[in-house]
Amino acid sequence: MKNTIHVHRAIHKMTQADLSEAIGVSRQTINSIEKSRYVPSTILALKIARTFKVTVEELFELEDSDDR
Amino acid sequence: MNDKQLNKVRKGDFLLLPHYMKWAAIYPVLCGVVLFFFKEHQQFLNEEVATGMAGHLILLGFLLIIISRDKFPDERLLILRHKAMAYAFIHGMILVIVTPFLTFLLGSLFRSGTQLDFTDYGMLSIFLFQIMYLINYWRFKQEL
Repeated sequence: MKNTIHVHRAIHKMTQADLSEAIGVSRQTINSIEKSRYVPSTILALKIARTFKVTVEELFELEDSDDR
Repeated sequence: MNDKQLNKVRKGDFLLLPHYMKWAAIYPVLCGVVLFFFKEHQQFLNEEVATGMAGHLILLGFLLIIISRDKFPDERLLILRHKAMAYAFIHGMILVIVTPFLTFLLGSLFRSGTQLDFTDYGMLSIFLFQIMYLINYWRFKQEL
Protein backbone atom coordinates (compact mmCIF):
# COMPACT_ATOMS: atom_id res chain seq x y z
CA MET A 1 0.00 0.00 0.00
CA LYS A 2 1.39 3.36 -1.08
CA ASN A 3 0.89 6.52 0.94
CA THR A 4 1.46 10.25 0.57
CA ILE A 5 1.96 11.11 4.21
CA HIS A 6 5.43 12.60 3.64
CA VAL A 7 3.96 14.89 0.94
CA HIS A 8 1.19 16.11 3.23
CA ARG A 9 3.69 16.53 6.02
CA ALA A 10 5.80 18.73 3.79
CA ILE A 11 2.73 20.78 2.77
CA HIS A 12 1.84 21.34 6.43
CA LYS A 13 5.53 21.90 7.32
CA MET A 14 5.39 19.16 9.93
CA THR A 15 8.19 16.87 11.04
CA GLN A 16 7.66 13.19 11.82
CA ALA A 17 7.92 14.09 15.49
CA ASP A 18 5.19 16.78 15.14
CA LEU A 19 2.83 14.34 13.44
CA SER A 20 3.55 11.58 15.94
CA GLU A 21 2.77 13.96 18.79
CA ALA A 22 -0.45 15.13 17.09
CA ILE A 23 -1.85 11.60 16.75
CA GLY A 24 -0.29 10.04 19.86
CA VAL A 25 2.12 7.45 18.45
CA SER A 26 5.91 7.16 18.38
CA ARG A 27 8.06 8.80 15.69
CA GLN A 28 9.28 5.34 14.64
CA THR A 29 5.68 4.37 13.84
CA ILE A 30 5.28 7.37 11.51
CA ASN A 31 8.59 6.47 9.87
CA SER A 32 7.45 2.85 9.38
CA ILE A 33 4.11 3.96 7.89
CA GLU A 34 5.83 6.37 5.48
CA LYS A 35 8.19 3.65 4.30
CA SER A 36 5.20 1.26 3.84
CA ARG A 37 6.66 -1.21 6.32
CA TYR A 38 3.67 -0.89 8.60
CA VAL A 39 0.00 -0.58 7.62
CA PRO A 40 -1.81 1.51 10.27
CA SER A 41 -5.15 0.60 11.81
CA THR A 42 -8.33 2.29 10.60
CA ILE A 43 -8.36 4.48 13.70
CA LEU A 44 -4.79 5.66 13.11
CA ALA A 45 -5.41 6.22 9.39
CA LEU A 46 -8.48 8.35 10.22
CA LYS A 47 -6.49 10.32 12.80
CA ILE A 48 -3.75 11.08 10.25
CA ALA A 49 -6.36 12.08 7.66
CA ARG A 50 -8.07 14.37 10.19
CA THR A 51 -4.73 16.00 11.06
CA PHE A 52 -4.11 16.85 7.39
CA LYS A 53 -7.82 17.62 6.72
CA VAL A 54 -7.97 15.14 3.83
CA THR A 55 -9.75 11.82 3.22
CA VAL A 56 -8.10 8.47 3.91
CA GLU A 57 -8.17 7.68 0.17
CA GLU A 58 -6.03 10.76 -0.50
CA LEU A 59 -3.43 9.45 1.94
CA PHE A 60 -3.43 5.73 1.15
CA GLU A 61 -3.63 3.91 -2.16
CA LEU A 62 -3.83 0.19 -2.89
CA GLU A 63 -1.13 -1.37 -5.08
CA ASP A 64 -1.46 -4.33 -7.46
CA SER A 65 0.34 -6.56 -4.95
CA ASP A 66 -2.43 -5.84 -2.39
CA ASP A 67 -5.05 -7.53 -4.60
CA ARG A 68 -3.37 -10.92 -4.34
CA MET B 1 -18.17 -9.38 28.54
CA ASN B 2 -19.22 -5.80 29.37
CA ASP B 3 -18.18 -2.67 27.46
CA LYS B 4 -15.33 -1.84 29.85
CA GLN B 5 -13.83 -5.34 29.57
CA LEU B 6 -14.34 -5.34 25.81
CA ASN B 7 -12.53 -2.01 25.50
CA LYS B 8 -9.62 -3.33 27.56
CA VAL B 9 -9.28 -6.42 25.35
CA ARG B 10 -9.58 -4.30 22.17
CA LYS B 11 -6.84 -1.97 23.41
CA GLY B 12 -4.71 -5.08 23.98
CA ASP B 13 -2.20 -3.84 26.55
CA PHE B 14 -4.22 -4.63 29.69
CA LEU B 15 -1.80 -7.31 30.86
CA LEU B 16 1.26 -5.09 30.61
CA LEU B 17 3.09 -3.56 33.56
CA PRO B 18 4.48 0.00 33.70
CA HIS B 19 7.74 0.76 31.86
CA TYR B 20 9.84 1.12 35.04
CA MET B 21 9.27 -2.61 35.76
CA LYS B 22 11.81 -3.33 32.97
CA TRP B 23 14.48 -1.87 35.25
CA ALA B 24 13.06 -3.55 38.36
CA ALA B 25 13.45 -6.88 36.51
CA ILE B 26 17.25 -6.58 36.77
CA TYR B 27 17.12 -7.46 40.49
CA PRO B 28 15.55 -10.96 40.27
CA VAL B 29 17.78 -11.82 37.27
CA LEU B 30 20.88 -10.64 39.12
CA CYS B 31 19.88 -12.49 42.30
CA GLY B 32 19.21 -15.64 40.26
CA VAL B 33 22.57 -15.50 38.47
CA VAL B 34 24.48 -14.83 41.72
CA LEU B 35 22.62 -17.66 43.50
CA PHE B 36 23.31 -20.04 40.59
CA PHE B 37 27.07 -19.42 40.54
CA PHE B 38 27.57 -19.19 44.30
CA LYS B 39 25.17 -21.92 45.43
CA GLU B 40 28.03 -23.98 46.87
CA HIS B 41 29.27 -21.09 48.99
CA GLN B 42 26.02 -20.47 50.91
CA GLN B 43 24.64 -22.46 53.85
CA PHE B 44 20.94 -21.51 53.88
CA LEU B 45 19.63 -23.69 51.04
CA ASN B 46 20.66 -27.10 49.80
CA GLU B 47 22.16 -27.17 46.30
CA GLU B 48 19.08 -28.50 44.48
CA VAL B 49 16.76 -25.95 46.05
CA ALA B 50 19.25 -23.16 45.29
CA THR B 51 19.48 -24.22 41.63
CA GLY B 52 15.70 -24.36 41.31
CA MET B 53 15.26 -21.00 43.01
CA ALA B 54 17.96 -19.40 40.82
CA GLY B 55 16.19 -20.68 37.70
CA HIS B 56 12.83 -19.36 38.86
CA LEU B 57 14.29 -15.94 39.76
CA ILE B 58 15.83 -15.64 36.27
CA LEU B 59 12.53 -16.70 34.65
CA LEU B 60 10.65 -14.16 36.79
CA GLY B 61 13.06 -11.39 35.76
CA PHE B 62 12.69 -12.18 32.05
CA LEU B 63 8.90 -12.39 32.44
CA LEU B 64 8.89 -8.89 33.98
CA ILE B 65 10.96 -7.57 31.05
CA ILE B 66 8.58 -9.21 28.55
CA ILE B 67 5.34 -7.93 30.09
CA SER B 68 6.52 -4.37 30.78
CA ARG B 69 5.33 -1.59 28.49
CA ASP B 70 7.72 0.17 26.12
CA LYS B 71 8.70 3.78 26.69
CA PHE B 72 6.28 5.02 24.00
CA PRO B 73 3.71 2.24 23.60
CA ASP B 74 1.48 2.37 20.51
CA GLU B 75 -0.44 0.04 18.21
CA ARG B 76 2.62 -0.82 16.06
CA LEU B 77 4.62 -2.04 19.06
CA LEU B 78 1.60 -4.01 20.30
CA ILE B 79 1.31 -5.77 16.93
CA LEU B 80 5.07 -6.44 16.87
CA ARG B 81 4.77 -7.82 20.39
CA HIS B 82 2.07 -10.26 19.25
CA LYS B 83 4.09 -11.27 16.16
CA ALA B 84 7.20 -11.85 18.27
CA MET B 85 5.10 -13.95 20.66
CA ALA B 86 3.83 -16.12 17.78
CA TYR B 87 7.33 -16.57 16.31
CA ALA B 88 8.80 -17.33 19.75
CA PHE B 89 6.14 -19.98 20.33
CA ILE B 90 7.06 -21.78 17.11
CA HIS B 91 10.85 -21.36 17.57
CA GLY B 92 10.60 -22.34 21.23
CA MET B 93 8.56 -25.46 20.43
CA ILE B 94 11.01 -26.53 17.71
CA LEU B 95 13.94 -26.10 20.13
CA VAL B 96 12.12 -28.02 22.86
CA ILE B 97 11.33 -30.87 20.45
CA VAL B 98 14.84 -30.96 18.95
CA THR B 99 16.88 -30.56 22.18
CA PRO B 100 16.24 -34.07 23.65
CA PHE B 101 17.11 -35.68 20.29
CA LEU B 102 20.29 -33.61 20.04
CA THR B 103 21.23 -34.51 23.62
CA PHE B 104 20.66 -38.18 22.84
CA LEU B 105 22.54 -37.98 19.52
CA LEU B 106 25.54 -36.12 20.97
CA GLY B 107 25.53 -38.40 24.01
CA SER B 108 25.61 -41.43 21.71
CA LEU B 109 28.35 -39.96 19.52
CA PHE B 110 30.68 -39.18 22.39
CA ARG B 111 29.59 -42.17 24.51
CA SER B 112 29.22 -39.84 27.46
CA GLY B 113 25.99 -41.23 28.91
CA THR B 114 22.90 -41.67 26.76
CA GLN B 115 20.45 -41.47 29.65
CA LEU B 116 17.99 -38.60 29.20
CA ASP B 117 16.95 -36.44 32.11
CA PHE B 118 13.67 -34.64 31.40
CA THR B 119 13.32 -32.92 34.79
CA ASP B 120 14.63 -29.52 33.71
CA TYR B 121 13.05 -29.36 30.24
CA GLY B 122 10.00 -27.44 31.52
CA MET B 123 12.14 -24.60 32.86
CA LEU B 124 14.48 -24.77 29.86
CA SER B 125 11.58 -24.56 27.39
CA ILE B 126 10.13 -21.48 29.12
CA PHE B 127 13.59 -19.89 29.17
CA LEU B 128 14.07 -20.62 25.44
CA PHE B 129 10.62 -19.17 24.72
CA GLN B 130 11.50 -15.99 26.64
CA ILE B 131 14.85 -15.59 24.89
CA MET B 132 13.33 -16.24 21.44
CA TYR B 133 10.59 -13.70 22.19
CA LEU B 134 13.08 -11.00 23.24
CA ILE B 135 15.29 -11.62 20.18
CA ASN B 136 12.31 -11.57 17.78
CA TYR B 137 10.78 -8.48 19.36
CA TRP B 138 14.09 -6.59 19.16
CA ARG B 139 14.58 -7.72 15.55
CA PHE B 140 11.05 -6.69 14.51
CA LYS B 141 11.44 -3.28 16.17
CA GLN B 142 14.59 -2.69 14.10
CA GLU B 143 13.16 -3.94 10.79
CA LEU B 144 9.42 -3.13 10.82
